[in-house]
Amino acid sequence: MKWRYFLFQLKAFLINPKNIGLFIATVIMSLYFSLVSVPNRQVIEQVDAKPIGKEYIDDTAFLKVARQEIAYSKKPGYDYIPSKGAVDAVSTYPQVLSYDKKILLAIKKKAWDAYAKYASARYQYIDELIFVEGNQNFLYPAAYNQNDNFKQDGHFGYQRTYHLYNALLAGKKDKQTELNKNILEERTALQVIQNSLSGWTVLIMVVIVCFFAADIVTNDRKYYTVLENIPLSKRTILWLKTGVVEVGVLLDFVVAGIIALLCIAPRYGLGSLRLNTVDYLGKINFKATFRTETLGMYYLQFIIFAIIISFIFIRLTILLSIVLRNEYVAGMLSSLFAISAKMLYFSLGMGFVYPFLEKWPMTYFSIGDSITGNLAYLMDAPGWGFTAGLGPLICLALVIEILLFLFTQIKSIPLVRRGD
Amino acid sequence: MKRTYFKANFTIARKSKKNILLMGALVLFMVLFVLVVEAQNLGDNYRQWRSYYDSLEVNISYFDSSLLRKQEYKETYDNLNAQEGCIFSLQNGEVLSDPQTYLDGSITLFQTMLDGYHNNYLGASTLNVPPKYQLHQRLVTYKYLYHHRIPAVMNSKASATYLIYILNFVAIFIFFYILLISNDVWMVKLDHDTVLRNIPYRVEDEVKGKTMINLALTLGPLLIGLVGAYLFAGLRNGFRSLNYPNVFYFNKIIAIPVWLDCLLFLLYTAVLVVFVTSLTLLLNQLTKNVYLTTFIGIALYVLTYLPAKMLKFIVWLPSAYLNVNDVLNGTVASKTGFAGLNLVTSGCILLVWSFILIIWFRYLVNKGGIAR
Repeated sequence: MKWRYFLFQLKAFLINPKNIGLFIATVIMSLYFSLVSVPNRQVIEQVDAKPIGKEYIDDTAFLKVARQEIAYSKKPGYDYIPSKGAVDAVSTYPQVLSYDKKILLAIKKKAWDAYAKYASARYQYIDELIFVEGNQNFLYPAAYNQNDNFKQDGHFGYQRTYHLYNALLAGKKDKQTELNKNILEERTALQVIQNSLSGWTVLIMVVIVCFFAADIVTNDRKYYTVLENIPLSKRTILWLKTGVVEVGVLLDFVVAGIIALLCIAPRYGLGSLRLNTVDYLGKINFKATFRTETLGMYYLQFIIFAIIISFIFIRLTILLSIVLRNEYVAGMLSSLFAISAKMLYFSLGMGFVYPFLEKWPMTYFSIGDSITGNLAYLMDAPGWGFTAGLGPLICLALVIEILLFLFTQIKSIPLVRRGD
Repeated sequence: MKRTYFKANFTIARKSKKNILLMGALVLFMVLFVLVVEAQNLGDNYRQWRSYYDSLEVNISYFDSSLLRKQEYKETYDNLNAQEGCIFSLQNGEVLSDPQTYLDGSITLFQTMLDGYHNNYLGASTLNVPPKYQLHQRLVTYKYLYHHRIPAVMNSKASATYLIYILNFVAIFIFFYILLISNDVWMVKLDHDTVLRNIPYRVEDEVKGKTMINLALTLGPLLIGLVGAYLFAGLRNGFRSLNYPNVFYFNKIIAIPVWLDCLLFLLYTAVLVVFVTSLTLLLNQLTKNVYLTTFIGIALYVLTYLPAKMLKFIVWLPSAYLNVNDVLNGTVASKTGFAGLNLVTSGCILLVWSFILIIWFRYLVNKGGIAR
């Protein structure tokens, strides 16, 4: 009986015009992402010989002028103080130029290991000069500026690139994952999807889950006479309905994922789950700390969060549709709950001021933000990652389950009424 | 009969749980969002200035220490130094509590920032300079403040500045609110065909009635929300004059008092309600599904996010005019390159589309009836 009921519900779910609309919408979004958004994505640290070569020529010319200025100041009988820019250039440019030369050679030879090694050292060196020593001969690229805090944003960007290149090099040594230009620019399908699965993208996916589940209970009004005397308990019916939505959601997102992979991989490569990536842990002892993990581990954490969060939203929407007896209100309320954190407190430094936000489950609904550590950066406090999020999410799921249990115990509240 | 039928329809719409939730959420959001503005310092001009000043300093230092690497950077260097001078001047006004000096300094600064675009700030790669049209918007606002001797408010939490903040915010998504209110506008008729079939009511009257209902369900909560927002923010953070300016575009960017801005916003929203009602009537009749009606409506709005070069080819579609904020502040005109696209022309385009959609809807109803 259970199996037949499940199949009946699954069939009704799959031919529901609303769900077909949601499937089509997801496919269109996936196509837009892979064919428009990804090719136009701005890579800040491009592996490109042209700008590096131009900078190399410019810096070499400036170093020459700076050396002349210093020599002039040292001439006996001249009371001349050289400019700070010239003094700094003489002490720092030779090192930077030496890195640039090695980087240009590595690009020419397509020796990506060497590129990663010297570029990483260069980022670390220049970051130290700008952030620690306040050297004004160098600037962070403007594209890092996300939060009206360009020095912090630039420092975070350079540190992430430095740690990422080191992590990729370590992966090459340990797991023999070959490097190439697309991997270094994080353009391969698995890397670009990893970087995109956060913020509003994930929240829109959660809203889609809410609307998949919105009418799963109330739709039974259409088959009221058929389902009225079905020999299944209310809780069993709700579990079967939850399973149906889970299958539908899984199907929808797997299809969207496959489309994205098929569109991106031929152009930029698939990447590998064994490739290393980095996640930010926060400032520990005043130092930006990054942890290395594989893309496979990242996706595993993402899937665990995704399963828990989609379960939460399916059950929450079902609970709301039983209590409020209105599918639109249920869908809208759970959607509002999904975006509440992003709307209300996703702003630089909020976690430092209000540390209790780390315990709120809404903080983790955008998934990628917490797993990559970008949330720890935004909140300006360590933590806010996978392990910090598991507790609040499981607690929320349990609260919803308890409420569902209580409501299904009340006989005067049927799943659907004839007059609904 | 007409009056009774209209009343019955209005009661159904007013008592719909979905509509109650939407109206309640809109009013609460408009009134209480000031708490979020306070907590996150949203729209804090001081913070924005500090950030800009920091990036200005760094870029000037970069040019200083690099001994003006190239001669073509000199124009940028001079401009940045002039900007720094203006910031000192407005800071003097701030310290000495002299609003006119502050405003004078700000106006000169905006003009200097606009001048910097002559060579596109060549060499100042990390300067956080706002886009040109935003500078024009700020310039007209500060000129208005200067001429009307209104002290500038440096945050968005005082009564008038919060009203401007929330008005600009709500104007971005009010289309979605109307769409959700209206997405089942014709479904009542389709769902209760046998009961309603023989009521002597013409399609034109149905359209008028539904439009009136949606106007009431949209403009009522909006008005309550705007008044509530002004009062609540005023009680918490002090009242400011309703003559405080906001940016408005007609044939050029100008500043108008916020009370007039509210009126124009409500007027344009009323036109938008007429359009969305006719759109949802047609989509309900075509798809017989509330969700599909909503998704197609959303798809129409999403078209506004096409790149600017593509947007100019779809100016004849209603999509570009669904974001009220973009219409009122001139972003539509700026993005498409058609200077004539203002509140009036946008409203006319939406009304023409409403007329076409209603004709189509009437044809479908007369041809196929309303059976589901």
